[in-house]
Amino acid sequence: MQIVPALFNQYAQGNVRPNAWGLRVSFDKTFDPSVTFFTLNTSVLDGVDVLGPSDDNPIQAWDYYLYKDYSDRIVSMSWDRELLFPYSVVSARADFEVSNTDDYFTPAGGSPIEDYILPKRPVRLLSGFGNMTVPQFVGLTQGMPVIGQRPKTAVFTALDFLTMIYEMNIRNTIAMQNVRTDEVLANIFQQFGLAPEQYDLAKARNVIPFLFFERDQITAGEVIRKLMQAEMGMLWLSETGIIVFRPRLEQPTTSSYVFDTSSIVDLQVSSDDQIINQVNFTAELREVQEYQTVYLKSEGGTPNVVPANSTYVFQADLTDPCLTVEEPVIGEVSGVSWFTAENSNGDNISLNVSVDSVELKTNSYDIVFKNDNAFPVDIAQLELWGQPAKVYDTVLRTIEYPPSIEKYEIKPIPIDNNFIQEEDQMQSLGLTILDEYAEYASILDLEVKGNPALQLGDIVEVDYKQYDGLYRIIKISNSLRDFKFTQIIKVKRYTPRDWFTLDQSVLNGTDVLAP
Amino acid sequence: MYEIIITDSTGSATLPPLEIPLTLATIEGATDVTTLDFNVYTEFIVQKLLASHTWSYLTETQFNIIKGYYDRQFTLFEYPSITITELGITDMTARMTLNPQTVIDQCGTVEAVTVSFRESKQNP
Repeated sequence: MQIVPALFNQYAQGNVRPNAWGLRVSFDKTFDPSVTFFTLNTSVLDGVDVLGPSDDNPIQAWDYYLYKDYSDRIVSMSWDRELLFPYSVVSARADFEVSNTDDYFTPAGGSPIEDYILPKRPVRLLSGFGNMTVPQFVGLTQGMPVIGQRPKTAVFTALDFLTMIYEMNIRNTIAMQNVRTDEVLANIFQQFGLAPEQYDLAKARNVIPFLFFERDQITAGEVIRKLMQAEMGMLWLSETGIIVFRPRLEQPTTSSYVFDTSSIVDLQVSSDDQIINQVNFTAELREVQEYQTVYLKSEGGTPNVVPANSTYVFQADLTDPCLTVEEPVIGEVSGVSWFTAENSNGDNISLNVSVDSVELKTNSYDIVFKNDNAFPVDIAQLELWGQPAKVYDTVLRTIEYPPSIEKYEIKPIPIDNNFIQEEDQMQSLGLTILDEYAEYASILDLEVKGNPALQLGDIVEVDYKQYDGLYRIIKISNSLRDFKFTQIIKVKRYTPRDWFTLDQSVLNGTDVLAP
Repeated sequence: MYEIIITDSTGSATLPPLEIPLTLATIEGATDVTTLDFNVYTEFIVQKLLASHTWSYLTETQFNIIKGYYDRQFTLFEYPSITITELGITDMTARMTLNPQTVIDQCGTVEAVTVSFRESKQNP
C-alpha cells in the first residue's frame, strides 16, 4: 500500500469522500533540464528527481519530461493493473477522456499542441482525496486519440512502460550461465537503456544453469514472462515509475486494509474454471559442458569460397546452443578453434586470410572471413571449440491435490518452462499454485469503497460471511466517471505462513519449509 | 435590493429589478453508493450553483439586453459572469439559458422570461 497521510485514509473511509484526480501529459516531450537523477532511498517519490539518463530511447527517463496538467479537462478516466497468471508479470493500462470543446486535442485542429498529438506521449495519472493525490499510472499513449464530435471529447489509451518493453525484441544476444532471475532481468533492462536507478530488483530464488537468447529473434516479454513464471514472484512498474521485482516470499504478508459489509459494494465469486488442482511441468534440463569441439568441417566438403579481395559469411550450424565459441585462428592447432584455406589448386594459403567478425547465434556461429588476396580461397577445414549447453534430461513432473480433484474433477495447468531446472523448484512452484488455486472461492471480485493507495500484491482482510479471511490483490480496476470513483479488486485467497528460517526456527516447530 | 449584474467581454449590464422568487439551487456532483449492509456513502466531486429567475413581463429593450448576453455565448465562445452582491456571488462564470420568447402585445412586451445561470468554469 502506498504511504499516505492519515487524513487521506480518513477521507477514504468517511461518509463523504472528496475525490481528487490528476492528469499530466507531456505532448511535446520537452525535457526538464532542472531535474536530477533519482536515488533510491534518498530522493522523494513524486519529487523532481528523475529515474535515469536519457538518450534517444523513448522508454527512458519517463520522469524527465516536462508534464502539463490537464486535470481540469478530465471527463472520465479509468486505469487497471493486473498480475498475469501464471507469468507473475503486471501490465497496466489507462484510458482517459478529456474535454475537447475547443479542439485542443484534435490533430490539425489549430491547437497549440496540434503537431505533438502523436502516439507515445508520456502520461501520468493520479488519484486521491481532498488536495492529496497519489500516483496511479505512468505510461505512454497508444495510437492517436479518438475524437468525438457529438460529446466533443478526445479519448486516449495508454500502456505502462514495462508493457511496451515486453513488445520489443531483445537487442543484444544473451548467453549466461548459473544466473539468478534478477541478474537476467537487469541484463535485459540495461539493453533497453535503463539505468540501475530505474529498477529495484530483489535477489531471486531461481538459478538458471544456462540461458541463451539471440538478438532480434525473441521479444523481451517472451523472455521475462518465462523467467517470472519460473520464479513466481512479481514484476511490475510501480505507480511511481520504478520497475520492481520481488520473489514470491518477499511480498507483503500482513493485512493492510479491511473490507467489511460497510465497505463492500458488491461481491462475486469467480467461476470454478479458476480452480487448479494439477500442475504438469515439462522442462529440458541443460548443462554447460567443458570446452569441446562444437563444429567440424573436414576437407572435401562443400566449398565455401571467399572471393578475391572480399568477404564471405560462413554459417557454422551448431547442434546445441553454446555459452561461448572461440574465434578460429588460421592454421591447424589442437585444442582451439582453427581453420585452413586453399586456393583453387588445393595449395594451402596462410597469408592474407583472416576472420573479420563473428556472431554467436542460437543455432549457428556466423564467421565473416576476409580474403585480401587477389585470388579466391576456399575455407577447406574448420574446427570450432566452445562450451555447448546440452540437454541431459527431459523432466515431466505432475504435482496435484487429490482432495480438490475429488470434488471438482481434474483442473490441470501445463507449465512448459526450461528455466525451471531443479526438482525442488518444480515442487515449490507446484505447491504454491495448488495452495492458492485448489479450492473454490479462492478468487473474489469485490467492488469496494476503494482507496487509491491500495497496490497490487497487498494483503487485505475480507470480513463477510463465509468469505472471511486474508486475500492478496491480483487485479485493481479503477475508474472515475459520472461523479463516482469506482474500485474493483480481484483478490486471491492468501494463507499466511511462517517460513522456516535457518538459525531461528525450531525443528519440528510450527514454521514450514518455504515451497 | 437584489440585482443581477451580468458581464461578458463586451461589457456589463444590470438586469431589470428582480421579482420574487429568485431561485438558488445547489447541484451536487456526487453519487450515493449503497454497500452490502445497505448503508450509503457519497462519492463527492464538487457542488455548483444554479440561479434562476422569472420576470413576469419585460419590455422589448429589457429582453433584448438579456438575449444579447445569451446569444453572445455562441459568438464569443465564452460564458458570461454574474454578480449578485446581496448573495455573496461575485463574478461567477455561468452557463446561461433563456426560455422561449413570448411576445404578448404590439409593443414587443415579453411575458414570463426565465433566465438560468449554471455555475461553471471558463475554459481558456
